[in-house]
Order: sequence, then structure tokens, then C-alpha cells
Amino acid sequence: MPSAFRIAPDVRYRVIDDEAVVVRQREGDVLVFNQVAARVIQLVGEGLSPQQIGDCAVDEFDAPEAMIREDVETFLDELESLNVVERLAPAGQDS
Amino acid sequence: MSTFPEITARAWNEGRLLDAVLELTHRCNFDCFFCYNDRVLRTWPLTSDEYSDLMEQLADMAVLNLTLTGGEPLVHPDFFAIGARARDLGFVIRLKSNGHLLRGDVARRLKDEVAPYQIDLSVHGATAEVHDRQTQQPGSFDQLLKNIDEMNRLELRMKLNCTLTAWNEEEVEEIFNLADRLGLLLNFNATVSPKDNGDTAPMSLAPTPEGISRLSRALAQRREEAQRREKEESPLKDGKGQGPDVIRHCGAGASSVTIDQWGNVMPCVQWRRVVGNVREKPIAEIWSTSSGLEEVRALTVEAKKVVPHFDGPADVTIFCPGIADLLTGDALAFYPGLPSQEATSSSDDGAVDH
Repeated sequence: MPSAFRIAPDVRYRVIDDEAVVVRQREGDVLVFNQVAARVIQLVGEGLSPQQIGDCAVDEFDAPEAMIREDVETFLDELESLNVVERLAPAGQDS
Repeated sequence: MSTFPEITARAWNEGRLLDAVLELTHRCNFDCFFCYNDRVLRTWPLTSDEYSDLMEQLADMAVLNLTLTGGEPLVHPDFFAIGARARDLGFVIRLKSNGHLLRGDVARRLKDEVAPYQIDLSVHGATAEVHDRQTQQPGSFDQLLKNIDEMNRLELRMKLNCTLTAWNEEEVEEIFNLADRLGLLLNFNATVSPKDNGDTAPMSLAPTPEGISRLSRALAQRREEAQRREKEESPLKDGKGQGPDVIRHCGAGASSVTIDQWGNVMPCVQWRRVVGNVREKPIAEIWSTSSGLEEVRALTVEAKKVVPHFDGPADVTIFCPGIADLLTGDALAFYPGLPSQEATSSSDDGAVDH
């Protein structure tokens, strides 16, 4: 099962008109993400697992399920590479 | 997908609240002669619980930037509780402070518990003699420099704010040099405002025309240098670039709001027209129904049209309708001075500034 994520501690965000405005405080810059990524960020912020985020996205967006789940995974990887989210160590493992 | 400047411009044009300023207290550990705060307590200030409730409402409205200011916000007895709540609610927090208390445990707690994006520090001169004369606190300049050094080690982002006065106008270049040595951005404000209660005593410290010209020259030189550097350096980062045209002169009451310690809602720190009180109505309701805010929004649209036609040093003037209102009773009237110009004194250009 994929690792869970959380919003990076220095990151602040708001969803405005379906887009996510993300401030990376450490870098001192602002990133803007589209509607699907905005929803992914929101759901990470609510503490949902990647599986649960995929389930929500499938319910909420009108596209083939496989494509949505793949998009969610891609977005999570991208958000991690941008230090917007960070991967949590599996239970029982040191972070 | 939008860029951040496009989102900011839409907020200005459509009246979407993005920035809130909370004046936590008008009390201060300094006694600056030119301070505009009226320190008379009129009623019971907002409690920590009321601030928590207000900030929840602001977060629900998707407000991104929250400025905690004063007076000196750190002398508020519940500062850390309020700041920590703001952090938990996901605001990008800016603190405006004189910096005197920002050392040791206070600085560490600020980083750990509030985690601000930036601390705006007030500096009043390039020397202890000039700075301390304004604060009326001997040793405050040296303490500020020590505290900046300590906060640098804590990796807290800082910026300097300086109000140009008759007392410091001969040190303009030295103040820029000080900011450069410290590696901090510097913002000059060239308008000394009356007090909130209309008392014009602080204006006796207003800079002279020569002082304003001196600042203008220094700013022009630094802008040229910054533009040259910008051309030489990397292309725009994400979130930057030009936004679409805005219909307003400024975001006062359209994308930003100020709330004082008694819950009074005003369009801006400078535009102290009370348009509601958060003890009487939720901020969202004030934002969407206040006739006072509607009037302010109409004035900022009008200001956008009239300001370019002012006689006077328009090339160096950033007009503030709030100051115009305060000084002349007419938010669209020209007034002398150079209200605010920002100069870049380091390569960091503060991405959430706007």
C-alpha cells in the first residue's frame, strides 16, 4: 500500500476558485495548482490516505477511474518533489 | 490555470478578501513621537477566544495572508496563543514589530509556535542616536541589531520598515546601506500620518521636500540597479509575472481589511473608516453587505482614474486614498509627500508581497 502523506510543515495553502494557492514559506514563493491537484492537496490536509484520496477523486470528477487514480498518484509524486507534501513513514518505522 | 498575480488581480477587481490585518493592541514598549496609534482604550478589547473565532471565519473565507500588528503585537498577553491559532488555521503570517523583544525565548517561541512567513521590523535611523531618539528607548538600536543577528541564526525571514522623518532624512543612504549589510529588504514610507484620533502633532516630524527628494533619488538609483540585476539573473519563478489589468487603485476594502483591537473593521491600516464591527456581525456578512465598504470600493475605482492626472511629483508618488481621506477629508484629493515606495535591498523579493 502506498505511503500516506501530509502537508509539509512550512507550507500554507488556500483553495480559491477551485485552484490551490500554495505558499512555500521556506522557499518564499507561491505555486498555483489546478482543480484536481487542489482537491488532492485539500484531502492530504484532511489526513486521507492515497487510497482514500483516489476514492474521493473518482466520486467527484467525471473521468475514467483508472485515469483519475493515475492522476492522483502523479500529483502526489509531483507535490512531494516540490516539497509541498511529505511522505509519512509507515507505522512502526522511524521517520 | 491562473498565475498568482492573476488571482490577486481578480481579488482586487471582484472584491475577494485575501489579506487581513489584525491590530492586536495599541500598547507598545516604545513611545515613538510620530506613532499614529490612539492608545486610549474605548472599550474591552477582543478576547483570545474572540480572535480565535474571528480567524476561523477568515479561514473559512479563504483569506491567505494574516498580518499581526499593533502597537507592538508582542506585548499582547495572548500573543502566542493567537499566533499559534493563526498558524494552525493555515494563514501565511506576517508580524509587524519594533523587534525589541524578539530575542531568546521569545524569538524561539515565535519560530516554533507561530512560524511566521516574515517579520517586518521598524527601523528609524542608521545610527543609535537617530533611532533611539525616535523610540525614546536608549539602547533600542543596538538591541535591534543584536536581535536581527539572533533571528538570522534562527532562520526567521525579516524585512525592515522605515518611516522617513525630519529626524532621519539625512541618513537615507546609510539606512539603505544598513539594510544591505543585514541582507534585508527595506521599505520606506514617506508619509507621517496624523494620529487615529485626528491629532496632527506627529506631522511636525514630516520629512522636508529636500528629504523626500533625497529618498526619491536613492530609490531611483536602487530601482535601476535592481532592474539591471533582474535582467542578468534567472527568468521569472512560478507565481510571478504580470497580472491582468486591475480596475482599482489599491486593494483597500476590496482584497484586504484591517480589524482593530475592539473589533472595528476598516478598509486598510491607513484608511480608518469604520465599516462594521465583528462583535456585531460576522466578518463575512460585513464584507458582503457593508455600504461603507461598497463606498470605499467605488472610491478605489475612481482613484485609479484620477491619480494619473494629479499635478505634482506623480512619478514618485504612490497615492493612498486612506491618507488623503485622513489629511484632506477627501479620499480622491491630492496631498503632498511620497507615501510609500519599496526598494529592493537584497535578491529576495518576497513572493507573497503585493
